[in-house]
Order: sequence, then structure tokens, then C-alpha cells
Amino acid sequence: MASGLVGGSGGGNMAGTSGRAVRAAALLVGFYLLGFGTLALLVAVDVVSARLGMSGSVYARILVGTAVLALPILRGIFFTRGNRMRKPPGVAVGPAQQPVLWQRTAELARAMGTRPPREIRITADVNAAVHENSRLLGLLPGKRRMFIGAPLLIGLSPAQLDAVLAHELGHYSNQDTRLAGLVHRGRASMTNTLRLYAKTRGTGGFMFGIYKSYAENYLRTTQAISREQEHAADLAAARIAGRDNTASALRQIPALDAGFGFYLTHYAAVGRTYGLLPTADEYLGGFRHLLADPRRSAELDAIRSELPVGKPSPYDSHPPMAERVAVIEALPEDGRGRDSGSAVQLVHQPAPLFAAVARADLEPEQAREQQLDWAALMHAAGRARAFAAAGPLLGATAALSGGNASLPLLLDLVDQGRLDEVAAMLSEPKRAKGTSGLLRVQHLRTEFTHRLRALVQVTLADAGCGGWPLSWSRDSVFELRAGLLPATATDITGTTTSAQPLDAALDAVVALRPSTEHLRQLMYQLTYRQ
Amino acid sequence: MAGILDRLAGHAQPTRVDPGALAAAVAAARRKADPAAPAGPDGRTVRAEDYGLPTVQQLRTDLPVEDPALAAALAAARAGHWQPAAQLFWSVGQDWERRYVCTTVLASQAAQDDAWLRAWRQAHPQDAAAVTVQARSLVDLAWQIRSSNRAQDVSRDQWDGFFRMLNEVPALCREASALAPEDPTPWIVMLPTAMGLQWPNEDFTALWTEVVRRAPYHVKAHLAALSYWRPRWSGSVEHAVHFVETAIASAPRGSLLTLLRLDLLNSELRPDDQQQRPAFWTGDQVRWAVDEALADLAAADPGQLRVGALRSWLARILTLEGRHAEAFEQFRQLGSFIAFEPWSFSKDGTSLYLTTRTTAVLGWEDAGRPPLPPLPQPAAPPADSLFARYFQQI
Repeated sequence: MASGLVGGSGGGNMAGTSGRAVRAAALLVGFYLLGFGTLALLVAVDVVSARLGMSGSVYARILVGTAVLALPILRGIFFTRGNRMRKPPGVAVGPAQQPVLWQRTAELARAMGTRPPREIRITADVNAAVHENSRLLGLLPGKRRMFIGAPLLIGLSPAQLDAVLAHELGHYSNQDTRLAGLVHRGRASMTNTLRLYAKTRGTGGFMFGIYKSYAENYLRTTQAISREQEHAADLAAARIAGRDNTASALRQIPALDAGFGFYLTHYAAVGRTYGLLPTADEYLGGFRHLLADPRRSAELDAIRSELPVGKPSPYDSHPPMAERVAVIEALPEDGRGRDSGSAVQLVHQPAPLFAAVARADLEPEQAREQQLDWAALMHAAGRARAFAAAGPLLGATAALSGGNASLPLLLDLVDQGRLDEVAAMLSEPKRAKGTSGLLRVQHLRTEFTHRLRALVQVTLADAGCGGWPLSWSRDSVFELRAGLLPATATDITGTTTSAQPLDAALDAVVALRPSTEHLRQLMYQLTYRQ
Repeated sequence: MAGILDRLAGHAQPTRVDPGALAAAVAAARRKADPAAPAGPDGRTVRAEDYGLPTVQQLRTDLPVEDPALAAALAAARAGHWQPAAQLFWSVGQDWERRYVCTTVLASQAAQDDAWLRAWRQAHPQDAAAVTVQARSLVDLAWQIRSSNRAQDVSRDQWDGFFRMLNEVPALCREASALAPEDPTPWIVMLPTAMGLQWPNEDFTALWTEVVRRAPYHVKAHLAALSYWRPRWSGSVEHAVHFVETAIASAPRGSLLTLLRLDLLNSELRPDDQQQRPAFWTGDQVRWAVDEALADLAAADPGQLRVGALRSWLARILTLEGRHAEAFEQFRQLGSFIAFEPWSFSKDGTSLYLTTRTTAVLGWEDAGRPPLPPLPQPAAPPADSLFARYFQQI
């Protein structure tokens, strides 16, 4: 999927760019000539080799070699799009399932003066795109699909979604020229060929060099055109959805991008390595909880108000977001204002839809994994993580004491003065590499402490003394069950710091003179005096 | 040795050197092929022997002072024997400045391998010197774990280890102080500890009271305390200037504490902008601070252990000021032990010293070998300097 908010997009207003466009077109023709020329040369090599009457094995090697070199060119020219869209991502939704969404899209297409898509697919990423399965080097139009990321439906307002979809449709509006579309497809062909050559070696590396310099020249030429196309699509979007909605949508997208990535790693996919997932409808749908949280929202505000000003790559087809926003915000007031709410209100029965999108997105084997509600998931994932961290410590304990590894057995080893022996059996932390003496001992003890803390947490959690509660505002951390703590556990500010007595007890285990007494006492108090 | 000690005393985080000087230092390091003759800015060289200066081979950065007993105790500790160290502290007695130097040198050895120290502790559990060396070795170890990176580049793991080590120090210092109540050394060891543990200002001030009660003009203690008051730790430029001026005002001439002011000029008051630096170094404020330091030095006991520390700062800044005759004189007097700031800022410990020295000597030659000017008269600081505010208050 090449078109979209983040990737390159075809089409656009070509006014004032005709000189560059002609040059780009010439370069594109050159690209095809280079491709076909190289192919002809390779065929000629094969033919000449056959005529020269080479030995069978040598000839076979030449055939294979030329075929390897020809393949990227053939695939680049003929199969660039077809290959990549054989299995379109997401879930198709028909007009009967999502009438409001379809009607809205049709209206937007009409307003933009272009034909509506034949298919709408809801995807699992922060992206919206229109894709056309064109044929014959991109000269013939094909089936047009619109992709809408579920996170956008959740995180954009209805008018912001209008702006985003209008922008995408704008790339295909009447103002576009077929030439621009061709130029864009050439870009995709070239990058595809280049990517294929990048994987090869030897003569392929030589071909990579040739194509690289050619493609760089081409990309630099077309970049200015693409940027103008993006600005034109933005302006068209502003006309349809209003200045403020368009600008705020552009600001919202990087925030949603960052926010959704965070949401996946810290919530939806937090337990994936341990075979734990949220329920299918919440896998994507749960994003709304994060967006609704005031603290997280404040963090995202920072992105919304200060857009990242990355150094633009000369090959980037999109202008920097900050520049696009500035152009839109400089438009005169249009009295349209900003709307509110979530575009999810345009979706009929979002829960089953998001569940279907999630299932399509997760690999087949993932669909069989354990599905939990959020609270159960966070606890289970926290425990699984801690258990994994404690594993090597238990292994070392078992190896040194020969018994069934457990926390008390480990503490016995520490009491016997074997703490550093245990620590030396754990995986060496990066920091400790190349160190020696006491510095190394301390680095290893730090690693030991992490794993000991994890083991203590698992032990306490399994005894029902604590766990990893769900919070949409904070990272998931182990917390002792309320009321289990001695009254002294308040810090200077008066807030209860549940970890404090535990930390002190852990510190004592790895102190200069290791003492397990505090920890043993605390574990006893917590687990037996409930 | 100089690394951790000086970081703690003056530069808890990456040492900052004039990048111009650093470039020169790098250039000098590249000319290592002929190390005896580092070239001046225009490629000219100076033969150290011709000027009665130590050659590169004669320079010493392994120990901060020339002290055969300390060198012997260090060698013995490396070999696993504690007795010479114990003997050393016995003979040093109440020379607090020297006692602290011996503590840091032996502690940095113990931070690598503490077998000898553990044996000492076991043989003489009541020896305050051993306890203090152990405490100080943990401070060293803490900083090695933390590394001298900027705070934001220190990992969570490093902070864990750093605090774990520092948290062990107070109990040991208390133990040492109970054994030797008059000894300021354990209290001085507490200064970088309190800084690392980010003690609140009033707690630190209380600790400082204990230090100065036992050793009112201890130079290394003052440098350690100054670190705490820097903006990057728990103070500000104002705090630092106030601390420095109070210390200098309450000390007699000859205390060497004027070096705090020179340190401050280089570390906190120097403009960030390279372009403005030459004007800064040749300005009235620097001239006044240097003149005060020269007067302080003239009044000092030449046997004071930290004389070289003040000379080093003077040699550097006098050169930056273009007062080459006076700078040359400081280099001549400094001798071959140069494990002092600012020389220790350069990685090899000598390149900044050598390039600065070459500049001073060539400058002196270019001026036609002028005689040493008379000692400057004491004066008030320039009215527009930050020092003036605090100088007058005191």
C-alpha cells in the first residue's frame, strides 16, 4: 500500500510543474529503456553463450546468472503493484454493513470530483489511503480501494476524518493528470527494483549501484511535484472539511501514530510474547481508553502542539507535517470551526468490526491465544514478565543448591555467602562486559537485584498479596495489595509508597554485608498475616 | 588516579575544557612521535631542558604528590599487603590535607581490589583510617558504576548501583568518625556522597559545619563542597559564588582557597560562546581573581600540599590572559607532579599541560624574555563582576 498519510501518494495538481513533470517523464521512460535494454543484453549473453557451444555446466551457470539479474527488473516493471496488493490488508466492509461510512465517502468523492472507491477496507494501523490496482505499467485504471485505519476512526473527529479521506481522494480528483499517476507508479517500480537488487550480491550489487543513482535522480526530480500534490490535496481537504478541522487532523495524526504505537507495546500487545491478548474487540478498540485518559492525553497534546520537525529526506514525497499544518493554518478563517466527538460514531457496531479487523491483523496462530479482559491481561502479562526475569535466578539456585528452586532456597545461598556466585551465573549485563574486580561484582549484583525483585513479586502475587493493576495513566508496575503494608510506608510527601519497604529489604540482600533477614521477615508478614 | 578524585572534587560530570585548548591538546597528542617537543600554535617547539622545565618523560600523573611513603604503601597494597598503608596513616597523623590525599589514593586502589583492605579491616577493626579508606573506595566505585556521563545518559541500572554504593557510605563514615572524632577525613568523604545522594541544602550545610570545625581551610574539602553547590548538582551559580567568596573571606591569606575562584571562572562563569572567550579571559574580573590568587600563593607555606593545585590553575589562566612571564614562572615552580586540574581534564593527563606550557614559553620568548612583574597589590573586585556582590557582603 503505497498511498496514504505516511507513504507516497500519486496524482495531484500539476499546474506550474510541467517542466519538471516532463523531465520526470523522460527519466521514467529512461527507466523502462534501461530495464528493457538490460533485459535484451542479458538475453543476448544467453544467446551468444549458446552459439559459442559452451560446456553444459558453464552454460547452465550463465543462464542462472542472467536470470537472477533479470528477475528484479521483470518484477519491478511488471509486478510492482500486483504483487503488493494480492492480499490487501484489513477487512472489507460493504455498504449494507456500514451505510453511513459509505455514504460519507461517496459524498466526499463527489465533492472532490472523482469516482468513489469500489471497496472500503478497515485496517489495524494509523493510516488512511486510496489504492488503485492499475494495469499495464499503470496506464489503465483499475479497481479503487479505500483503506481506513481503525485507530483513525477512534482518534479522529468526524470532520477530521472527512479531511483525511478528502485528502486521499484529492489525489485522484479531476485535477490530476494521468502523467502524474505514471510518474508516481514509476517511483514505486524503481524502489521495488532497487529493493530486490539490494538483496543480491556480485553483479547484482553492480546493478544496484546503477539503479540507485538513477532512482535518486528520479526521486529528487519528482519530489517537488509530490510535495505540491500533497499541498494541493490538503487545500482540497480544507475546502471540504474546513480549515480548522483539516489543520487539527494533520496535528492529530502524528499524535495518534505515537499514541497507537505506545498503546500496542504497553497494552494491546503487552502479553503477546507470553500468549496473552485482550479480547478481540478490545485489541484495537481499547485505544479509546488511552485517548480518554487525561494524563496520556496531556502527553499527546505535547505532540499535537509541537509537531516533530524532522530533517526532510530529499527523496521524501511528503512535505514535513509542520510545513503542511502551517500552510493550512495560514488560510483565512472560514467560519467552519472545529467539531468534536469520535468518528467511531459513523461506524455501525464498532465492537464486532474492530474484532474482525484485529483477527485479520493478528497472525493465524495468535488468534488461538488466551483472551483476557484488560485487568486480567495486565496482571497476567506483568506476572509472566516477572516470571521470565526470575527464571535464570531460579535456574542458578537449583544448580547451586541441588534442590527445588525457590525464594527461601536462594536466600539460604545468600546467607552462606554465595550471593556473588549466584550472580555470576546470570546472563552478563552489557554494562559489565570487560569490567573486572569490584566494579564487575557490583554490576552483576545490580542484575541480580532485578531478578530477585521479579522473583519476590511473583512469589507475592501467587500468594495473593499483590499484582499488576491496570492503569491507563501509568505504566504497569507491581503493587502490593492495599492494607498489607506497615503504617510506616509513607514518604515525605505523605503518599504511600508501597514499594519502599520491599526495596529496602531487597537492598539489604545485596548490601556490602548481605542480610536476608528483612526480606524473610517481610515475606512472612505479608503472606501469613493477611 | 586523578580521574575519579578530581571528578569528585571539581567535576562530577564530564570535565569541560576550552575546546580551543582541546583541539591543541589533540594536535599535541598526534605529535606523540616526538613527545619531548610539543609544538606551539605556529609549529615552533620548546626544549624543556633549555628552560629548566620537566621533560615529558619526567612528568608524573600517577600520584598527586611526591610522597615515597605513599607510593610504597600503594605498591604494597597492590601486592596485597596492608601494613605499609596502616603505617603511613600512623605517620601522617593530623596533616589533614595529606591524610585525605593518602585516603583517596589508597581507596582508588581498593575500589579495584580490596583484598588487602579487608585483611586490614579484619586485623584492626578499630582503625579509623581503614574504615575511611573503605568508605572512600565505595564513593569511587559508585562513580565508576555511574560513569561520568551526563545525568540523562546514565541508565537506570547505573543509578541503582550508584545509589546502592553511596548508601553504604554514611554508616562507614559514622563508624570512622566515632573512632577518630577529631579527623575531618570521614566527613570530607561524606561530601561527594551527600552530593551524589542529592542531600537537601540544609543537610549539606550541617555536614559542612562538621568539616570546617575540624579542618577550616582544607582545600580538597572546599573543592568537594563547591561541586555540591554547582548548578548541575544541588546549587546554582549564585550559590557557588557565594560559597567561594565566603570561604576565601574567612580564610587567612596563604590558605590557597583562591583557587576555588579560578575553578569557578573556568567551570561556571566562562561564556559558552567560543567567540567571547578571549575577551573573558583578558577581562578585569579574571585579572583581579588571578592577582588575588598570586598574592594568596605568595603568602602560602611552600610546603603546603596543594600549592601545585593553585599553581596549575594560575599557569593555565595566566597563559590565557597572555601574561606569559608570570605563567612561565608558575610552570617553572610547579615541578613534574602535574596530576592537578586543569591538566587532568585532558585524557592523557599531559597534553593540555604541554600545549599551555609551550604557549607560555614562546610568548615569553616573543616578548623578549621580560622579567617577572612585581606582585600585584590587593584590590577590590571589579564592580560589575558577580564576585563584587558577595565580596562586599562579607
